Amino acid sequence: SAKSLAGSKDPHRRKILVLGLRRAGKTAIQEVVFHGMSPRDTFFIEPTFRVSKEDVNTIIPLQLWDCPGGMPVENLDVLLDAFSTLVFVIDIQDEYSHAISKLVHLMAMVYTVHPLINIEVFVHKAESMSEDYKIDNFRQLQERVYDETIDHPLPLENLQITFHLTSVYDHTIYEAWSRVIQKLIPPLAALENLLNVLCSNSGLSKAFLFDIKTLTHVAADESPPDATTYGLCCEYIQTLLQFSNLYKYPQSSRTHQPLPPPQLTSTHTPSSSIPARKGTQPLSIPNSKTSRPPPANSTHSSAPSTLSNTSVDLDPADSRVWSTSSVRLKPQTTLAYWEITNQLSLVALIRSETYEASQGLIDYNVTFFRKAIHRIVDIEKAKWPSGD
Amino acid sequence: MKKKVLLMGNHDTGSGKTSMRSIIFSNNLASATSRFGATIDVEMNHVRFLGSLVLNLWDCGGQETFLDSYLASQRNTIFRDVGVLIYVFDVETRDFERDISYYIECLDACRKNSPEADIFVLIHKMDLVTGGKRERTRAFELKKRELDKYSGSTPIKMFGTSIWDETLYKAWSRIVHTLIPNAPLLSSHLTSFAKICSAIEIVLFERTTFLIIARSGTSTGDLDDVIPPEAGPDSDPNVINPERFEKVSQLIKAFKVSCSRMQEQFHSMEIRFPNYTAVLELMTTNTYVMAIVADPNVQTATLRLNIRLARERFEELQAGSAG
Ligand SMILES: Nc1nc2c(ncn2[C@@H]2O[C@H](COP(=O)(O)OP(=O)(O)OP(=O)(O)O)[C@@H](O)[C@H]2O)c(=O)[nH]1
Ligand SMILES: Nc1nc2c(ncn2[C@@H]2O[C@H](COP(=O)(O)OP(=O)(O)O)[C@@H](O)[C@H]2O)c(=O)[nH]1
Ligand SMILES: [Mg+2]
Repeated sequence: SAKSLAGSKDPHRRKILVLGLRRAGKTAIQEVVFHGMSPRDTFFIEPTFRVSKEDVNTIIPLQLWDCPGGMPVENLDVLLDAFSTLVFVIDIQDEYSHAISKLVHLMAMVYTVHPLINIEVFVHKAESMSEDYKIDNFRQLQERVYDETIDHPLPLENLQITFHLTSVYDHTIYEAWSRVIQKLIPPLAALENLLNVLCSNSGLSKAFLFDIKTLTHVAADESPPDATTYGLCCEYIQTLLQFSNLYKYPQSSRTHQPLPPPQLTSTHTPSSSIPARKGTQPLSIPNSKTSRPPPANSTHSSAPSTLSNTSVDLDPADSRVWSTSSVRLKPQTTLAYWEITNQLSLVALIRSETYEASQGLIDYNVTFFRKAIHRIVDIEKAKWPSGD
Repeated sequence: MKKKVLLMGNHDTGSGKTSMRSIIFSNNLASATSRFGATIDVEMNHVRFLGSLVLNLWDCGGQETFLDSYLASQRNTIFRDVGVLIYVFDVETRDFERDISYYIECLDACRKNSPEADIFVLIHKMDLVTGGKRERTRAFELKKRELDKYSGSTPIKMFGTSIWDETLYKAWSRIVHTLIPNAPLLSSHLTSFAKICSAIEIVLFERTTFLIIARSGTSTGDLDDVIPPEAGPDSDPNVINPERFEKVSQLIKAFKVSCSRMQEQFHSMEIRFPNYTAVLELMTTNTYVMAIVADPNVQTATLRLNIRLARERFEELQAGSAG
């Protein structure tokens, strides 16, 4: 597909086409995730009459194409192979056979021009159904799509299709978008690897790297995901964001340093490997409750500035004070939050015992994690056309 | 100490009394309230507040047949020994005139049977007023002016409320505040405590409802007194959100509900933003304390230690506050 994209204006911006029948919830989905609209307000969204294109900068640059309900794709002014992903929204509360035939028709069109496209089906408005009924319905819908693809003359079953149960009224819509976007992130393996290393070195039981503007997670460690945990982390971030607006005192001069421009180090580094950690210590501190972290960071908040004094190159990751937070739950879990870049935050679940015994060590490890993430982000940014 | 709290209002479609009560006292989320059926006759609930204070909530179904009977055969039972009367109007009511005529009768019955009762009027479902804050204020003032005509000599406090934002916490904090006799004393202690901690401000919340009990500041104990922010000579007073207390109530309350979905209970929280630090901790068995500090040199561990040291003193003070 790279060849067909070569001619387009902004080839690095991955394009996502959002389709579905009328009032399936396409616009609502995008308003809630990408503009922070409250789910209740989606009730007042006007029908979409024209294709609208919107640039969204997550860890990678995206462009969302919101289409009027039921619009034939033939009406688009570009070819289907311009898109990385096709999101198809189906209202689960509606009679969905028409939507399914639409979807299968689309799959047939896509098959001939762009068989590698990611097809993401959002089975939407699921919140009002009981858990069992919802799962039954979801399975049934998938079976019907599968049956129709099997019956089709083209081998549509070879297409990459993923189903998501979603609703704007809970975190499922963020989860679905996370999965959609993750497939498009070139250094995903590197991010996941960093999270895995951090988890094992710091005794974290689960860690998510969040894009705080969209509440999607850019990557998570390899431990099995669980919907409640992710939902709680989303709400934790939302709570912190709202909290941060309540007291807008001017920053004290000590902490008020402008961010140096990002250093575009090695633009040649292949994006799939972890960038070299030149000048930094790797994250290899043994996880033992009794071992003390190397620097004297009993005052853990000052750790970043201490490090920037000793560090050879002035890394942007060290040059400001990053927000942190923790929430103690009873009986045994602590939620912890670290701001990583202006856009990304780390949220982790830890056993409270571990957190209390080795908070300094964990914070120390996070500073290295932050540096590594800054490198990855900078390398990705360097690939964007200038002006982005 | 026991206090009888009457929740009244007249309407056929539900003015939101049960919703409010369940959000404040039973940890329900606003989104869960659409499932509630109409309240039949009177639902009584005893809720413990600040340990020894018992609120005896009488949630009175709002259909006219019920109201007629409250005003007739049940009149003495309903309106006797009332500590607080909360009368709820739906801002979108179709027949304000009729609502008012019931209101006047209830007001009259309450004054005759319980002359000491504090009276609050809530203009509810303010979120349904479209056009932003200014339109909401206008709609509220319009209703208030109309209702003020019937208030007579007793002062009646009115609030615009909605289950979807912090206004609910604002109104209910003011309501319960009338039931806490030594709130001014708590405030003055919080003020000295804030000095000890180098805190900009310190707020005390009731543990289960997260309603505001008292806060530091040069106040007389009245929650509506403005305290000047002490962030520095050149700080703009507008940078501090005047609704911050009830916003914190609402935020933390909702977050607590989310936590309990994980089979774990919210216990404490700390936040370090580049420009301020916040610690939220249990103060006494029945209260949470929130300390806000702008000085970047103050460690959260120090704040927690100070809170631990102050615990005993506040336990004593608060024991006095619930009478
Ligand atoms: N939009 C909006 N709806 C609300 C608000 N508060 C409650 N509602 C809704 O109004 C409906 C009725 O609320 P209830 O709490 O059952 O009303 P009630 O006063 O107990 O009614 P009775 O049972 O007749 O006494 C529910 O669908 C609530 O979700 C609000 O602030 N805004
Ligand atoms: N119950 C429910 N309704 C939703 C959800 N998402 C959107 N809607 C509603 O579906 C309707 C149509 O949404 P809209 O985004 O305009 O659909 P579009 O025509 O496909 O663009 C609106 O009334 C939304 O409030 C959801 O998750 N649950
Ligand atoms: Mg639309």
